[in-house]
Amino acid sequence: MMLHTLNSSPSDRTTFQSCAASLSEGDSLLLIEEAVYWLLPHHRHELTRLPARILALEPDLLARGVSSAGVNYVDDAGFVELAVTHGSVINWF
Amino acid sequence: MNAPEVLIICRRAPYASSAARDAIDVALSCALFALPVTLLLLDDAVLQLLPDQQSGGIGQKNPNAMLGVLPMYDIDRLYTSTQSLALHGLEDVRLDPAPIVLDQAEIRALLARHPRVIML
Repeated sequence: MMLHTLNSSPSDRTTFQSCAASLSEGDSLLLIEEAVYWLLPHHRHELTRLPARILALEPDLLARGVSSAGVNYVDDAGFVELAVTHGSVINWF
Repeated sequence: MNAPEVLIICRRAPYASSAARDAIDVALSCALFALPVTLLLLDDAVLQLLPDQQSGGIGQKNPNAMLGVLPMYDIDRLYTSTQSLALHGLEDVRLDPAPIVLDQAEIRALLARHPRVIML
């Protein structure tokens, strides 16, 4: 069970595709920094077919004006919690 | 002689790097020397205009507010492109501040009439 973090914008498709292809059932994908733009209505549908649980970092959602409606989000303490409860952490950037 | 007009193009999302802040700094510096300035936000830079950005939690300045004060310094030409809006599906979203939206032909004309372009 892995925690993947993704920090790049939907305009960087290569990073997203490599990340998406690496997800397994039971993994979690935490969207941070520019990756929270994947939750804009225009991009969000691309997340639905991923096998991982999708989460977002709340301060990054707020800072970028991206709605948290229908999104599982965590604060910084929650990020730490995810990091310690998953076997490993992989950063896609 | 008329002061040369400066076109500043920014292509980066807010906070991702210093590019968005640098674009505003350069615009204000030009205004200080009475150079007419136009700001063009392309690609991810259109995300600087999403409304209700609350950046306190990441310790950054709010781009809505920073871009919003530019007209007070006589920088009142803020542009983006139809292509940039389409990239993130923002055609029908209220943007803050609201930019003037140009198509590709208008972008080319804008570039053609600005001998000085700064890309950030």
